[in-house]
Amino acid sequence: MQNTISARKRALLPWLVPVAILAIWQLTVQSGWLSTRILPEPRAVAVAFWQLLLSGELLEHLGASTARAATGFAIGGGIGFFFGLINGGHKLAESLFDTTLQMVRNVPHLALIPLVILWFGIGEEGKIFLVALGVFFPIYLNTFHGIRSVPPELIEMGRSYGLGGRALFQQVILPGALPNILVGVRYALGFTWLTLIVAETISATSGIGYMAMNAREFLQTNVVVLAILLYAALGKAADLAARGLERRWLRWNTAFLAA
Amino acid sequence: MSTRNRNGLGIRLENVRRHFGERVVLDALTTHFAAGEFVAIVGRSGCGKSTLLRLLAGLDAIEAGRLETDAGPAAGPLSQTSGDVRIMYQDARLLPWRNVVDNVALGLKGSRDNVRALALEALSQVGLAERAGEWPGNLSGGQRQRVALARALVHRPRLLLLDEPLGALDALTRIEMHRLIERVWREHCFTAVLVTHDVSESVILADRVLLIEAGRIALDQRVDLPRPRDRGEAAFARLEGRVLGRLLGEAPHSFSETPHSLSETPHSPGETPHSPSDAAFIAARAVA
Repeated sequence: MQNTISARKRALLPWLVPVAILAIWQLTVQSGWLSTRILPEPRAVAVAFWQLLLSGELLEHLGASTARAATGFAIGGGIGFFFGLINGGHKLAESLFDTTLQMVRNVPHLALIPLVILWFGIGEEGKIFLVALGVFFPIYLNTFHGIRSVPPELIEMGRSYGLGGRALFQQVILPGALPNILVGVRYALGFTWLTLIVAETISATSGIGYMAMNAREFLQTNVVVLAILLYAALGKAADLAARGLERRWLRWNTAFLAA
Repeated sequence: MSTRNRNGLGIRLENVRRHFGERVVLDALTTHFAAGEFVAIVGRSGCGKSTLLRLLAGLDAIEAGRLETDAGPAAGPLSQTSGDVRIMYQDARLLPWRNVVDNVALGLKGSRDNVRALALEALSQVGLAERAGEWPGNLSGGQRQRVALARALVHRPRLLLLDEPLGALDALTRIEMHRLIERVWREHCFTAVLVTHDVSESVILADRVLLIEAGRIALDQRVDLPRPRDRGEAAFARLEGRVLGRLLGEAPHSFSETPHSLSETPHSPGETPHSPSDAAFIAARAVA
């Protein structure tokens, strides 16, 4: 009994500060101390959320952004995973590709935006391209590192137990690299939303970033704040999903590290 | 061969050599492991005993000389995929992302239920059936080695190689493991080759103790004590003392701890009291 109460209290404790901030925010705006042109009151943000949800606009923009994020992530992540695997597994591939990839890595992908607009205009391709580029490197680097960090003793053991080729990869190398790969996935998800925020703000006709820029022209600060909060929520959701995968696939890891 | 020894693999090594760069690790080594025999290999660090085990396991290739089994001459390294040869390492080398029973089932072919049943049977032989669902990370060092033993046994190996598998365990666990290894060896009748630093361990377990020095067999000692053996017995202590004395009493010039220096102090073959191959043949005949 004592335990359940203290556990519940502990679960609520992290939310104390955010709730306090929200309350102070509401009070400062309501009292007129802070202009609604600088920051709308939280209630107005909630109202904007509700109205946009009812009109269907919100889901439309949310869908457009999510589709871009998912497509870009799949393409960039897929290519990064592929290069991580072959460069981690074969010395020849590493000497052929790694130096080039490391050089490209030093170019901040957001610096390519003017070029991307020239190439693709303001269509979908440009934004997906940027997301894919942003996702590629964290996935590539962590997959590569993960493959390399599989203990050679385990690979030798697998071979001496008759595993080779596919079986060795599926049963020893990939599970051994998985903790690192998932770290890469979490980084990549962060990059996905960051890239999308910038790309949609600069050139788009749909998506959350477009919604925010549109609202700015009409001085709808509550919609702008809503867009920012939506990005935060999407980023958080993606991170939670990645953590869920970690918890599911790396159940052994806690036991292993504790021992 | 008799049906009782069907499981054991006899092995003959002739003039096997191996060197790393300038350093000769195995120098014209000739010996014989009879089917079903338990042989312990002792020697100081760097004497070549682990190299010999890796050659037998097929993990390294033979540079010169011959390796034959009683099934006929081995084409290249002993077959690894057939399940004839299994190795236990100093660390258990369990896959941390597989639970205990799936680790034991590693490399087994067949239907899922069948594989699991075989793995569980092997686990119960080492007394760990009730831990089948656990992660290796939750086991103690001794338990992990027992899982590794089960993983080797499940393939019904004809030759089991033990590369100091008990080196990292505490004294009490070692004694339990000695009993376990002896028991499964007697049940399964495989040929066992144990590499160890521990002379007492070699006399407890082995039919024959080989002492390797500078890549050659310096002593080939039969152990004809009844099993299970008792460390307290005079005969045991005498044998242990003889092997240990030979290990410690060697003139220092023919042995060196530091690598790369062996080539500067070549080992003269006249030092060994009798030809190692003779000793191996005598021992082999005694078992056969």
